[in-house]
Amino acid sequence: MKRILFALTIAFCIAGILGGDAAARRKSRDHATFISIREIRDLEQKGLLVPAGKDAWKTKSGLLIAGRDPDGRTRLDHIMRHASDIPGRPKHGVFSVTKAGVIDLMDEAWKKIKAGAVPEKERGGKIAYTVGMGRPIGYLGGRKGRERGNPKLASVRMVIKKGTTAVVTFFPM
Amino acid sequence: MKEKESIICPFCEEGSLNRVTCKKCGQLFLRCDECESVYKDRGSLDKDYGPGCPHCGADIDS
Repeated sequence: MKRILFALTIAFCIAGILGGDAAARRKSRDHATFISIREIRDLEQKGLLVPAGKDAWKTKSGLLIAGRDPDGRTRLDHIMRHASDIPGRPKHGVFSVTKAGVIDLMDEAWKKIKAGAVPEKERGGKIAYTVGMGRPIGYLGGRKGRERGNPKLASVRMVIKKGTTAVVTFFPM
Repeated sequence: MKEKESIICPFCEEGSLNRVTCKKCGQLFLRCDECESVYKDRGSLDKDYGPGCPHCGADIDS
């Protein structure tokens, strides 16, 4: 009897997973977490991130990763979306380094920005910098990346709030 | 009916522009899902309306 109940429970769960509506599955995927609490603790222990309040961290170079995006993701999670491909996105730069490497790249890019001679543009109180890293640091993913054979990328784009060190987003391009 | 092709944000050149309703004035505007830049509509992507709602200027930060 127990075995029958167990089998029925498993069958019910599988049917639920396979039979759920596509929109709900897509919403769930879109709200996936891209960095776990354990991974954040690891970055903190390595000294790459210093807690700076609720859902806020500072990097070694003083960049502030704080707040949440309009979808409710932490800013850190928003950036770490680029640690893996999102094939359904029209365009998606993907880092080919570890998550610790992403934080290191942010600091490296910020040092280059502060040193000057980095192209920038401004809009709506934000500044977008394009920083050449001199080596491949990722690849083009998403639908456009797939169409083009996922070419390697050697630059990063960093968007910050003007007049601050608060990062809005950071990704390979 | 064919779905309209998503617009890539001209500022960050990565994110897609999604339609959002201003909580204050109720008007629709476009917001980038990557850098959160805002645009009034498809026809005025080159205009900078600042960080607020492009219609009423209300704060739209999450």
